[in-house]
Order: sequence, then C-alpha cells, then structure tokens
Amino acid sequence: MKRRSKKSHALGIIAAGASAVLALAGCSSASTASSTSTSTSKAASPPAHVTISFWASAAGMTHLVNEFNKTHPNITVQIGAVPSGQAKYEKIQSAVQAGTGPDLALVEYEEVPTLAIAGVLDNVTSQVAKYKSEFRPAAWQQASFLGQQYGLPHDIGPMVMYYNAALFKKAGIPVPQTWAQFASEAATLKQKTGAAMGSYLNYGLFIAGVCAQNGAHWFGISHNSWQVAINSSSCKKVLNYWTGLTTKGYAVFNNGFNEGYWGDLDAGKIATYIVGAWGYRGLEGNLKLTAGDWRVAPVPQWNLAKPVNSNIGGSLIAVMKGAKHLQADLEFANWLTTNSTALALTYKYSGFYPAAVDGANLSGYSTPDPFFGGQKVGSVYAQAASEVSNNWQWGPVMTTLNVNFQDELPGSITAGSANGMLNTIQGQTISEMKTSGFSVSNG
Amino acid sequence: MRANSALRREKRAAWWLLAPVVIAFGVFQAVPILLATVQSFEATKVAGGLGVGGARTVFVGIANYRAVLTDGSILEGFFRVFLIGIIQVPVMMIIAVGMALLFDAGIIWGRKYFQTAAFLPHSIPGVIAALVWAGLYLPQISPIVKGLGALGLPVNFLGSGAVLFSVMNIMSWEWIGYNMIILYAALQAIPRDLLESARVEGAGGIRIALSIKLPLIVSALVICLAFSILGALQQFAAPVILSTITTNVGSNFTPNLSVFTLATGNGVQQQASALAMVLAVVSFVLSLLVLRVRDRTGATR
Repeated sequence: MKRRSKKSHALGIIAAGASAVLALAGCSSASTASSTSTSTSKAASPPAHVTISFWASAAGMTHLVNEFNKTHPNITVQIGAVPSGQAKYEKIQSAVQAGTGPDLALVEYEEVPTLAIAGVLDNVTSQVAKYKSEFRPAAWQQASFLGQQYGLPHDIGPMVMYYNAALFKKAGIPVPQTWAQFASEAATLKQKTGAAMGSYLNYGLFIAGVCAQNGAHWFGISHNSWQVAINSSSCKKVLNYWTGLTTKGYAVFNNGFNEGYWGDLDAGKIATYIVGAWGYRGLEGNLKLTAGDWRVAPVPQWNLAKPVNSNIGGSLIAVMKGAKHLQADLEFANWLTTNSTALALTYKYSGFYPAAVDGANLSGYSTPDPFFGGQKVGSVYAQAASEVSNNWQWGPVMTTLNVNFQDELPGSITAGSANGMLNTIQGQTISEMKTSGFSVSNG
Repeated sequence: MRANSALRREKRAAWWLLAPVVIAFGVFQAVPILLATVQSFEATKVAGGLGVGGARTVFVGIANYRAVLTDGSILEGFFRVFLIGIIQVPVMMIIAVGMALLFDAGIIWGRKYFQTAAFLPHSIPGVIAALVWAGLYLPQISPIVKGLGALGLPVNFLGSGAVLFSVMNIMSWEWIGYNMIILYAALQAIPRDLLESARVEGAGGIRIALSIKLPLIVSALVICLAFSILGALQQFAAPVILSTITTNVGSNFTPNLSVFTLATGNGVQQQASALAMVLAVVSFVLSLLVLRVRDRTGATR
C-alpha cells in the first residue's frame, strides 16, 4: 500500500467512514443470516447467505465491494472504516483480540510478522494453496511468515523510474540504465538545466527498496533467532550513494507525497521519481504543467548483467483470526485480487499494481497513456515485477524502524554519510527487540 | 427531623444532578488515568525466540520511566516546548494585552469588527489552521515565500532552525484572539469611576493602562498564562501536519508527539503511558506554580 499525504488520509478516513455507515444501514437485515451459516461455511454444500466484514482504508475500495455484492447474491461484504497508517493496525489488533475484528483486512506486507506474532492473523496455508499459481511468487512469499500463508497477495510495488523526458532532452542525456550512469548524468543535468536528477525519499519503504535492490537483507531468521543486518555494507553503499547525490544537489531529499514535492516535479526541478509501479497515480493526480512529458523506465541497476528489483510497498488481503466464513472470505479475496473486472476497477480507482500474474495484461497498461506521452507503460511494470527477488524478510518491529529512519535520515545528510545513522539504527533495533523478548543477533 | 430529611432529599438531588458529570469523569478520566498508571509499570514480552511463542505482560518497575527520561530525542522535545514557553507565550501575551487595552480604551474604530476578526482564528480547529499555515510555509505554493523572494528576501519557514518558530506562529495566530477576549472582559469589569477619578487626577491614557488597568487584571492574565503554558506543553497538531511537508519535524518534536510515536510503535506502548504520566505531572506542577503566583499577587493587592 502506498503512503499518501496526511491530508488525503484524513479525507479518505471521512469517505470510508461515510461509506461504512451506508453499508451498515443497507445491510442490517443480512447480519442475522450470518450467524446461522457458521456451520455450513466450511462445507461444500450450497452456501446460505453470509455477511463478511472487510477493513480497508484504500481509496476506491467501496466501488469494488459494491461490484462484488452486486454479482454475488450469496455473499454480502461490508467494508469497514479504518484509519490509514499505523493507527489502522492498532485498531485491527485491538478488535481481533476483543473478538470484534473483521474477517479480512488490507494489510501491508511489512506488517505481516508483527501481526502474526500478535496472533491477529489466521493461518490459511492449506485453504489458499490452490490459488498459488495465480500470483507472482515474490508476492506470494510476502503474504507469508515462517512458511505459513496469511491470505492472498493484493498489490505489489516493483521499483520503476518515472522521468521527465523533456528535461532529459534539454540536457541531452540518455535514460540511465545503471546507478553509475544515473550519477554521472546528474552532473550534466544540473549544469545544463539546474534540475536535480533524483528524489531521495525520507520514506521507510523507499529506503528498504533501494537497499534490497543491492542485496541487503535487514532481517533474517536462523536457528529460531532473528538476525538483524541493517548496517550491512550493501545498505551503506546505497544510502551513501544517495547521501552523496543529495549533498551535491543532484538529488532532492524530501518526505514525498506532499504538495511541495509534486510542485518541484511539476516545475521541472527534479527529473526522476523512483518508486513502486503504483507511483503513476500520484503523478497523474498532482502534476499538470508537465503532463505528457513523463515516461517510465526500468529502475537503474547496480549490475546491468544481473538485473534485480525489489518492492516499494504492497499489501495482502489478510485473513483475521476468528474469521467465521473462510470459504466466502477467500472467495471474495480471490475475486478482489484476480478477477478481471475487479482488477480493472482497481486500476481505475486506486492505481494499485496487482500481485496477480494476469494483472499485467490489464488494458489500462497496454493502451497508450497520454500522461506518459502515449507510452504503453505495462511492459515496464511487468518486467520490473518479474525481477523482484522472493527472499526479502520483514522484521517484527517495522513501525519503530521506519520512524527511526525518518528521524535519523536528515542528520545523515548533514553529516554527509549514512554510516553513523545505519550503525545507530542497527543498535537501536537490536536493543529494542531484546527488550521485547526476541532472541536476536547481528546478522 | 423534618429539616433533616429535607436536607437528605436535597443532598440526594444534588447527587442526581451531579451524576452525569461524575460518571463521565469516572469513565473517561479517572479509569483511563488509573489504567495508564498501572500500564506505565508494565511491559509486554514475547516468547519463543522469534516471538511466536505468545506474549505476556510483566511488571518492570520504573524501567519505562527510565527509558523515556534518558531518551535524548524526547528530552529535546521537552526543551522545544520550554523554548515555546519562554518565547512564544510572552510575545503572544504582550500582543493580546496590547490589543485588549486598545479595544478597552475605545481607540480602535470598528471595535466589534476587529474583535471578531481577532477571535475568528480560534474558532478554526487546530488541524485546519495547521494545514492552512502549511500551505503558507511551503515554498512551492506559498504566496508569502514567493512575495518575499521577489523582494530579494529568500526565506525558508521550514528550515531546521526556523520550523520551531513557524509552529510558534501558528500557535499565536490561534490563541491571541482567545486571550484578548478574556483580558478584554476583565478590563470591562473594572469600575468606570475608578478610571474616571484617575483621569480627573490628571493621568493620561498610557499611565491609566499601566498603573491602574494592568494591576487590576493580573488575575485574568495569570489564568491566560496558565492555559498558554499548558497549551505549549501539549503541542501536537501543528508539528504533525508540518511533519508531512518537511523532513525537519521528527517523531519526537514535542513530548506529546513522542507519546503518540511510542503508543503506535512496536512493543513500547507502556512507555507511552509512562511519558504521558511524566507530562501530566509536569503540567500539574506548572499550573500549581502559576496559580501560586496569582494567589500571592492577589494577596498584595
């Protein structure tokens, strides 16, 4: 799932709240049926009408739920309002533990270990096995923890490079294929146009994505113990690269996802935006002056002979502990993540890049996109998605880790090196995990 | 006997009338405070190496308090609200007093209009106010930044040194009018014959304001001061909003923001309770001090 500005979060919460009220008002009679169907939900006999609840804060989800309810008379999905960001997981966790949780929730991959450890997610490994081939392997792996599946992958964020082709043309530089080219062309671009080449985003998922691309593994599991390797040399190399670009003025350090950042992109002050494939929706929604100038290209590589990609964001439809209608829950989750109508609606309303293999064939991705000067962007996304390695492990303390990065990154730029920051965060993470009772060692 | 039962009936009636407040206070204030107090001495520990062996809550004594009070970035947050307390609060109070005195002296033409205009910002929710100001601070869209830039005065309201003052500005904008109204009301309560006789004795407007009006509204002034200091200590909305547009507002910008960060962090919820307790004690001590000052000034009057 992508991060948006707090303001749009607030609007989203209000919209979700309003829709939840409507859904509740419309379905009050259906809830009586749900209790009687408990016994039949796992059997294959013709299902009685069931009502399931689904918590998601994503924009546009109401359209999908309405479509599903229209075409599935036996199942009514009620969408529940949750705040976005960390408060969402607080709410889900409290509700599930109190026995009032939803059947399903849209959960970011990075939260899977935390929620699994808290006992909030339902192990549905055997029930979902039949769906495995419908999803990209890397996404399937992200929807699991310790080999147990907790739901169906919904969306992914393979890294791509959005770039302002008009600025590139003005500076006379080609599209960089490697990070070395990216840095050397940045000097030319700065000299010829005054623009910065890159965006160094103060955003935990971006930091994780660029580090993972260079082979970093923040967390690992070995002998029933967590291994933490946030300050590995591969991560230091990447973040020092970005720190160097920023101190030279070749990259802009920004939180991203705010009017100021969009304004800089639209004013031609920043030439590229490296982010998950979902990034196009933010560009199209916020950039006006440079619409048509933008293109998408594969993310630059450290080693062009062995291209590697990694995700910036992504989420699954997680099954919650205590879900009462597994069959209906999974039918809805599978529809939401793989049905062609559902994927088309997702493309239209939210812009998530689907985790389903078939998602790459959406017509929206294969028709010329005027924002991207008529480019058919789908092939770039599909290639990026196919290059994501399926061995990235999230840790059990991602919220705190992301906050630590956001607090420490500004200082690392002033210091001109990421080494101190990474060593500090490594130490903090290990000590925090030890305090919480985890067995942990330097990875 | 009859008088006794009447008294008892009256007492019972009083309790009935008080019940909504007492129940609301108990459910929404006393119980949560009690729970938070208990929680602040506990911690959650996971088991089984990877954490999947279940979690249990254990008593940890003052460990949470030690953790938050030795955290450098949380202490920096306390220092920031201290700066707000010694810079923003006095500046705001001086402006509010000045405006109240001007309105009271009837010097300003269109008093009703300007009073409403000055109070209006306070009726806007803090989050909205912060969003509006965020738009005025963001260099890419701010007419202020662009205007000053055109005049050859490049400013960055969101720089690491400036952003605290930008927060103070939002606070002042919101609260000057509120304080002004309270002080104006106090000024209006001063007996007019007192001012009349001062004028007869030959005192000018400024002399009357400083030597007669100000000493008589010290009590209201101290109340405003107490609210302002507590408001400074609890700064939350403005830093949260600004943190989305600048990298210079971290997750521990103010103590209240630290409470939020801890409460939503992994496995440190109880530290949030501990810090909330610390904050409550600091607020309590500060209000007590301010009120003591008021009592003493009241005694000398």
